[in-house]
Amino acid sequence: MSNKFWMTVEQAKNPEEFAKTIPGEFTSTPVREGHENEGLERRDFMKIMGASALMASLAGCTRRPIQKIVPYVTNPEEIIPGQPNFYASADPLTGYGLLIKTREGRPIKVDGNTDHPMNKGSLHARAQAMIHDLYDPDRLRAPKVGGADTEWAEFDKQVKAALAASKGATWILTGTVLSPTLQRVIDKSGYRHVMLDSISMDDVLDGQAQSYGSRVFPRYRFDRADCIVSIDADFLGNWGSTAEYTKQFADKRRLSGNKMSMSKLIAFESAFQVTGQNSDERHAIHPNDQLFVALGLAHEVARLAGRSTEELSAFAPAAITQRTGISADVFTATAKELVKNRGRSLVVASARGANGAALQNVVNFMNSALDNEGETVDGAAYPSHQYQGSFKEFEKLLTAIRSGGVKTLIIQGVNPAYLFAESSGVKETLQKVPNLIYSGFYADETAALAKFVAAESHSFEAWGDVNPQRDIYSIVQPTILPLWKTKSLLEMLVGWNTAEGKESEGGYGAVVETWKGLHAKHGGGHAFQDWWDDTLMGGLLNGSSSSARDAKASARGFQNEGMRTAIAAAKSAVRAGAGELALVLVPSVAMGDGFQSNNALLQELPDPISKNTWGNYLAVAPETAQKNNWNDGDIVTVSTANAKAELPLYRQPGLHPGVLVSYVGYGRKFNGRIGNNVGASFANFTASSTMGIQPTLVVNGVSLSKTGKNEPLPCTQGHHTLEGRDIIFETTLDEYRKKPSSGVVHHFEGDKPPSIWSGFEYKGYKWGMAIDLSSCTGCSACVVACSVENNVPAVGKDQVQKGREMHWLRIDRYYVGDVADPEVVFQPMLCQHCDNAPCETVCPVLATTHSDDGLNQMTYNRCVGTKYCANNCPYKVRRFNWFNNNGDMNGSLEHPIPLSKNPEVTLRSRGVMEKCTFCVQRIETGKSEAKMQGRRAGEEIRTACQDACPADAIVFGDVNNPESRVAKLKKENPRGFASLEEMNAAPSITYLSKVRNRPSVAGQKSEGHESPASEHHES
Amino acid sequence: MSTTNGVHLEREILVTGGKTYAEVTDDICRPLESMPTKSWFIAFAIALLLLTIGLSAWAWTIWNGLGVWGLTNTNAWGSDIINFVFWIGIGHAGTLISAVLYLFRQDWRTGINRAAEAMTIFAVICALMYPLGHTGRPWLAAYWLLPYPNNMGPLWVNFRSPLLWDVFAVSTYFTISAVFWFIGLIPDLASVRDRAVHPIRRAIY
Repeated sequence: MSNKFWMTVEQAKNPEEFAKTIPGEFTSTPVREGHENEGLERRDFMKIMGASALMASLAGCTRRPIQKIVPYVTNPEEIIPGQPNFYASADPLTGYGLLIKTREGRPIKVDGNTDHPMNKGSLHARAQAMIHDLYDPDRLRAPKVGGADTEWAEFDKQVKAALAASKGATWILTGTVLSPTLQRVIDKSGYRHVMLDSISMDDVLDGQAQSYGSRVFPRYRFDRADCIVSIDADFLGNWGSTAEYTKQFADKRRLSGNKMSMSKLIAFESAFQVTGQNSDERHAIHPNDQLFVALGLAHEVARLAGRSTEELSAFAPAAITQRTGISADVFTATAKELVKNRGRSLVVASARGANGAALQNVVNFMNSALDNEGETVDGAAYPSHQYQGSFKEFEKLLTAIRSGGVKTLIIQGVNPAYLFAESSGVKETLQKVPNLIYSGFYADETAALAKFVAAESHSFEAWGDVNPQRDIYSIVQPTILPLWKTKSLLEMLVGWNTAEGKESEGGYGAVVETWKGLHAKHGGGHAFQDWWDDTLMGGLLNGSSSSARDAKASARGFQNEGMRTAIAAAKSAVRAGAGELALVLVPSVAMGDGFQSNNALLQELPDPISKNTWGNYLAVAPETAQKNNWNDGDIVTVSTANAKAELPLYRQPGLHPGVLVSYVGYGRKFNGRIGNNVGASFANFTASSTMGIQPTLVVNGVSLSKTGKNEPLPCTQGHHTLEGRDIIFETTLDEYRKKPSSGVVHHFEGDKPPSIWSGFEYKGYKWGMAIDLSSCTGCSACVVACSVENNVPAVGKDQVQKGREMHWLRIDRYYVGDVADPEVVFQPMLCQHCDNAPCETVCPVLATTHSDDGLNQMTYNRCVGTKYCANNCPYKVRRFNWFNNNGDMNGSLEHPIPLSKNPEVTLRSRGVMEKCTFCVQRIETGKSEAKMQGRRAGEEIRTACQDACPADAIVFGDVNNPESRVAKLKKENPRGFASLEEMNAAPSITYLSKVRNRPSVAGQKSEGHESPASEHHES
Repeated sequence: MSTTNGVHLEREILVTGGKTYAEVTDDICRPLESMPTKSWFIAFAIALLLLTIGLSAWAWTIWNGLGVWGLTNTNAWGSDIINFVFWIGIGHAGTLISAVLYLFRQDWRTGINRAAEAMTIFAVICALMYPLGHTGRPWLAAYWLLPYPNNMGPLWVNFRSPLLWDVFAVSTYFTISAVFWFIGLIPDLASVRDRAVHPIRRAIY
């Protein structure tokens, strides 16, 4: 049992050889802090020589700068020092409801608004990290004209003049605008509006337009789907409305008590994405075969659903097998599953290259044939507004510029100079615009082209609103005054369109005006001010009842023309040459489109599957790597005829042997000190002859050569070897139904081994946690949330390479099965707060002790840094401050970074150990509140990771309260187990085993690396 | 010369050259009563250089943080722990000479036991320095590991920690060795004092 999970390719292929490598695990040689080429300079050495004796004696003194604390002269309304204030707001990018926690007037934490019907309290990793964007010192601090800082008055004057001179020739290019107010202001201004999404959904939108006549992004309802088929659509990672989908998906699959059913997810993937990592069945495909896989599936669906297959006859599974190498049985079995769940199934796809709309047409055909239209795909009643961009419109803009029809162009929310290939001519075209106005956060790629660069406010600093789905509205309210001289686009546009001499109504005025319109419709007879106050406070205007939203939407009629185009397109589709490599480009969970690349927390967020940080890498199937003698960390040059990039190689199990996979969003060139030049940009690879201006996400015929260099990957797993012990367990749904505890191995009779000590009795509270490995998707939102809540620093690439990352919570990834086609189990690993904590007995100074409510406490003040506790921790969750991670020797961080810190959590100094505290600050706040109210604290105490988890995999609470969710999960759940139970550390965290909805295949998957490579993947 | 097949074993003569006790005392006290030689200065300079390098390395570590060593979260203890064991080993060699040979009544040890015990003491000091330098905050570790009375409430050290017992063991070892050395030194110090001409020297000894 214990040897079936594996973490690296070596371990899976040759466990004996791998075992030999384990003792020699020194990861690096001692070098000084900073970059390796700096070394010890002569002058530094002389200084040290001279001062060594003096410094040795001085080192005993810690310098504490004198600070004067001044009380409020006039106490601001609603602010009580030491008490957080919460404000409901919304994320302008996704439209999700937010709850922003502020302390003394500064936002310090953002979470989802639990009342919001879309994200229901959850947020993805990038939104969790937003707080650090707000306090980024590299942000633009003032508007610029011609590259020089200026004042807003002057800037506005010049822009107004430019606008006045270009009446009728002013265009505005934005990302998807979710704000009805901004949309109204743009419409009123008379500018020609073009929207462009940097992560394009054009394939879905165009496909919808062709199949159903409306260019909408449907509301997908994974909570209603019992069978989901995804063709490259990473709906749990980066595709569509991920936090919303993850929540729905996890709720549908959660097993508890009598609920013994879960949905089945079948993924066909050309990259190994979060969706595939959580699928019950996954088939690695070549990106050029997407359309064929869809058509093969459509053929079987049509046949089994009793529809005519005449037009699809060329795509019978046998023919598809010939092209894709995927067994015909796969299509038949998948289609059977879909048809069996008619009306309760869902097919989604995301196109990589050309024929995107064709692929979506086939998908829409299947959803209509399966009666899913209206049931799981809502394109009519409450469609999403989250993606509205169009490359065709953007091309029109470029044509207009080239013909001189654009005098002034305002760009916001999209970075075309970074997005498009040099050869596309986008940059040159934009430079032709006489008055290019760019509103952004940084002096970035597009800002470099603009005459006017407007410093943009963060959404936490300005008024706005969002309308992410029909009838769902939220107000974006500022929680802090702008830190610098910045304005939101809304404020700018309102100002520029205010007649001379009149005072601008500002962003607030514009929002109120829009909402007066909404009040007329949804006000329900309340006075506007009351209604506004309530909506502002609650953070949500839901214009329709929840029963209406939950009901079946009307099914739109499928138009067959699109399908015919798709069939025609398939006949002429590109085919990968023999032995040729195709480069697949996908957005990563951490970086997305690259907009947040100056965010150190995100740069250091380990990728869910590879656990690599700080930059993109080239993933290749181990099989292909072996054939070419490529190894992890080899720096390679990947090139096509007109593009070249240099980046490290990484062997990723589970990839199609004919593909290379890498992430977009890296290789930025802008003024961000953190994100500049991290990783490689693939923009130049994406130019395609068939797709016009639209970047293609699959690049055929790339060649790869080794540079001869090799550097360790900044990877966070690999030096966390847990030596194949009983850390996790898994089972299948069939086995689970027969015996819910199947797969779980217990080492002791009852809970504990025999002991002569009865153990400590926890009389009051006893905090504990339950983590459902079946629900955890590895999305990593918890990792970011934990870092923000607990002031966990990012340490940088060189430190991660040495294995010194500081994450209190990490997600361990284990593979099961064969290298060519592995399954994945994620395990969030944090301090287990063991009742018999091995760390506590060895600390010589009692810096880590146990509280009487079951917490393993860490007293930073007392810690002298022997690191004995970390050595003795079987879970390897303790983190040591090797350097001063919170500033330089004077202990100060650059302004305004200190404002982002949570004042309730100590900044740890150099030389002390730290680790997860179960968010002790939240526990103590909750306890004292409960005490004041004369009750026992309960479910209202939630840890940061629990708040963040979109899948609700993490449940925290008081184990001593039998009514608490965590106590129930721990006591009654047969899937529960303690990781490394045999150590008898008695952890406070119970894991629930992973259950997969697929038939158990005896001796194949469960026996791991012994099985031969699957025959499906030999194309 | 001892005989291998004789009736009795004869002790080797410890002091050759037919020296009187007075001459032996002169020989022993000479380094203390005269200027050091040129070769001593060369050796001292080399030692001082090594010390400076060592102190610079220490200062560098303390100034920047323990991260300048190649330690990681999983390999949290490095070569300084090996050095600790190494120097304890060196110290044990001194103890072996001074204590074990004493128990076996090997009188020839008297010629080297001062040096051996001195070696023990300095080896133990070296040994203590390494784990101290290996802590994250040596300026606090230097005394927080000792159970001293304090005004922070009932704040004690963790008697369950093996590391604490290392501290006790090594400090006990140091104390005993120092006492042992000093007791042996008393007659020597007395003769140096008696021979001292300068009153300050006399007072010191």
